[in-house]
This record gives sequence, C-alpha cells and structure tokens, in this order.
Amino acid sequence: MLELLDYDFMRRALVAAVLTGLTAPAIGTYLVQRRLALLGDGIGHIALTGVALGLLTGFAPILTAVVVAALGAVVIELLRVYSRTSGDVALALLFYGGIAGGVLLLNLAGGSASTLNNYLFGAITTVSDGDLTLVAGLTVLVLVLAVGLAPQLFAVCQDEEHARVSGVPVRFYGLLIAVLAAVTVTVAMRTVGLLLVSALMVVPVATAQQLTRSFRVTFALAMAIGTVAAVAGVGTSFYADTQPGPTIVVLALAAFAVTAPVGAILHARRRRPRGGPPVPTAGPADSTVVP
Amino acid sequence: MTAADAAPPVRLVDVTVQLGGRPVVRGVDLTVGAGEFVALLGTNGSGKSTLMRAAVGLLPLAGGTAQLFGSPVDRFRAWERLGYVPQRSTAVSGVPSTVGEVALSGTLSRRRVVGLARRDDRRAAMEALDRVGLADRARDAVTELSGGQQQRVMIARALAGRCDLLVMDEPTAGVDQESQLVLADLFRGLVSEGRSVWLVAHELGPLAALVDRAVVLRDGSVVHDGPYEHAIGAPHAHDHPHGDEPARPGAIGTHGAWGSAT
Repeated sequence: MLELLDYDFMRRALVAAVLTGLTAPAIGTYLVQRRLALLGDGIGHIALTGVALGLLTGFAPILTAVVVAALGAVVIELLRVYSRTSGDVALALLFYGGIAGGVLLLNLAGGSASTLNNYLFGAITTVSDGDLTLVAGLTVLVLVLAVGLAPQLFAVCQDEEHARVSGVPVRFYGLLIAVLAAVTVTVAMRTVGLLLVSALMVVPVATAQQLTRSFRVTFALAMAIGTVAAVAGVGTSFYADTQPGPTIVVLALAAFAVTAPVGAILHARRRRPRGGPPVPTAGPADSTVVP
Repeated sequence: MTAADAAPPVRLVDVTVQLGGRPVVRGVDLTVGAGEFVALLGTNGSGKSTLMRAAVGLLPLAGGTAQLFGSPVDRFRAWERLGYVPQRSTAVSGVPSTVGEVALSGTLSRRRVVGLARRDDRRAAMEALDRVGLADRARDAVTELSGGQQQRVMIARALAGRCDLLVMDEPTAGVDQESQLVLADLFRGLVSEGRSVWLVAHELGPLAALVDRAVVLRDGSVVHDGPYEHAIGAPHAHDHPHGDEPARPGAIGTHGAWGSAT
C-alpha cells in the first residue's frame, strides 16, 4: 500500500511536504491576524524574479529567491507603514513587476515553459537532497522565531498601538513578520508553487478557526491541518497522477468546506446575537494586501 | 513608591502637536498627579485624542515637552507603569483569541526574558479580568462578548501590567450601562489605591461624580482646567441640540460659552 515510500523522490517529497505544511500556516496565522492574508501571494510574485535571477546567474534558485523575496517583503512592509494612500497601487506595481520580470528573466536564462510551471505550481517530486537541506534549515528558522517570539508577534498583530505603548519595537516585528513570510514562501515554493503558496498559509488557518476560540489552539491546529493536507496531497497525487501542489491546496480547501458548516453552528451557539463570518478565505490574486 | 516618584505621572508643558502639517494641539499644559482622576473633554476635532496619543509617545511633538513619571516620553522606558487603552470599538482581530489571551498580552511590558509569561503574569492578567468583572469569561473568545465587555477586556489588558497610570482614549464610547457602572467602580478603586486615571471622553455619565479635574479642549487649546461641575454643558460632541443645558446660565459663566458644537 505504501509503495510510494519505495521511491527516493517520494520520500524527499513527503519530508518537504511536512516542512511546508508546518511552516506555512505558522506564519500564516500571524498574517491572518494582522489582516494581511494575501501578503504571501504578493511575495510569491516577487520571489519569481529571485528564482529567475538564480537560473540566470547559476546560484541556487532557492537562495536567490529567499533574498529577493525578503527584500520585496521589506519594501512592502515599509510601504504599508509609511504610505497611507498610495501604498495600494505601489504594491500592485511591485507584484506585477515581480512576476513579469521573473518570466522575462527566465526566458533570457533559457528556461522552458515547464521550468516556469515548476516554480509557479510546485514540483515537489524534483526536490533534491540539497534543496531539502536548505528547506529544512529555513523551516527551523521560521518555526523557532514564530513560536519563540509568539507573545510579541501576537501583541503586534493584535493591536499595534497597544504594543507600542507596551514598549514593543513594533516596526522591527512588522519587518520580521514580513521577512519570515518571505522565507516561508521560498520554503513552500517547491511544494505548492509560488502561485499557491498563499493558500497553504491561509486556508489551514481559516479552517482551524472554524473550530477554535483561542489563538494558541488556532496556531497549533492550523499547523496540524497544513501538515496533513500537504502529506495527503503528495500521497494522493502519487496515486491519482495529479500535480502535487494543486492537489494539496484542493485538499486543504476541502477540509475548509467540511469544517465551515460545523464552525457556523459552533459560533452561533457560543456567540451572542451579533457577529458575522469570522474570516475570509484566500481570494483572487489581484486583491489588495492592505486592508 | 520611591522618592523618584515625586514627579507626576503625566506632565505636559506647552505641548503642540501637528497632524499633516496642521497644528491640532496648541500650547497645552496638563498635569495628572499621583492618585488623580482627570477627564479630558471636548468636541470632535478639539484635539483631545491627538494630545493623549502624543503624551504616550504615539505621535511626535511639534513643540513643548511631555513627561511620563519624570522622563521625557521619547526616553521613557518604564512601560510597565503605564497602561494604555487605544481608541477602538473592539478587541477583535483576524484570528480568534480568548479574553484571557488578550489580557495576558498586557503583561508583556513586565516580562524580561524574551517575553515569556511567568506564573505571576498569568495571575496579574486574571486579577485584571476580575477587576473588570470578566474573570469567568477568560476562556471565551473575545468575539462572543458584547461591545461594552470587549472594551472592558481592553481595560483589563492595560491593567494587567499592574500600572500606576491608566490612560484611556474614549473607554466609555458606546459602552452599555452595566459596563459603565463596572468601570466607575473600577476607577474609584484604582484612585483609592493611589493610582492615576486619565481618560478622554465625550460624556462622563456615571463617572462624572468621580473625576478630580476636567480639562476641556477647544480647537487644540485648554479652555477649562478645574472641577467638572464648572464644565457642565461643554463636552457634548454630538450634533443634536442640547436645548436645556446651555440655558443654565451659571454653568457657562466664567469660562465662556465653549459649549457650542462645531
């Protein structure tokens, strides 16, 4: 039954799936809390330029993608903080510049349509041992910071002004969250692809919070859901001969579809008359990042 | 309390604050002493929230000096002595959080080791929830509470640091009667312990009897600083006409007719 474990590339794929499934919802919880659910999507666009630069220059695409995505995330955060009115348009310019520039550079590097496809929608079965080491290192980095700094990150995402008056360096943590999101995008790039990264950051969180009342449990449950969806997605894609990235995302969405009615009943029972649906799911790519 | 505490919790001297290059607060002097309950009143746009935000360091000063417990606000580091409640209608964010979690985040200013919550921090958070009458809701999601209760959660968060000074931007706006009475009890208790309370409000309601001083702003300047009774008729910010109040001649008297809504 578990014949997929007979293949080296499937074993690596499953490890990559676990790493991605843990990391993406961990940082995604903070993004959703901050109401920046689509930030990952924008960073994904920018990361494509990083990938192309790697292919063009001969560096490992994951490395160049981390660097470019992190720089992009810092610029996005600075725009968010310092420009009130025009930030929205500036973000759009950055995102579409990232994806157009990425495709152009890929062409120049002699990359084929399938190379592009691999990065846009993931190619988890082509993960090499070197990739896996890099991805594992980045995962540990993100998880240690996302869990270790949870009190500060929670405070900043919950209420920036109150956090500032508590002496928390809010700007620093805002940048940290953006950079961690960028690293996560790169980690998830090989698994679900740049265009679907945001789904794995947001959908498990949206699913978890159908059932939860506390941040702590939402955080843990989202990571569990993300991991199960990623592993089950890889397994399903092996047997059904589908692309792993979209399979993972469809499974995560299916989990959401199943829990949403349960959540509606739970919330109606717990809540006083007021309230609405708790959180939006991932929307189309052209929505704005800043609420 | 040590000798260094001789300095008042809040001391503003000739404070000017600009928003978008326009002076919103002009040359304001204001002091909140230890154990004092001061209300900052005024119509919409009078600059009271701006003044308060500048006093706690959220906005830069364009002129004058602002001190908290004797330190200039830009060099103030004893954040655990200051509890702040921002102006906002809810404590709800994009991810569920419990009443206890939000209150616990108020102890962050006291934590020394990478923000790790100690047992004493949890106790402080529960004490604060108890003081606002919500200890039994600690495990409930914030979204399950009424607006007034959510406001009390935010006050509990500010109190969880066991602060000496509680600064609140419109804590009573849109708050139900039950919550207003709870808050009145709470503030009375804080002041009797020697702590200071400074709040911005449109209307004081049941708090009117408690305040030591009312400071009234109009167009960014102080037009009254003294007992609240002398300020009656002024602070209403709503547009609906107050047919009865301005008709009480003694109420406006010495301080001029600053009650007219803008």
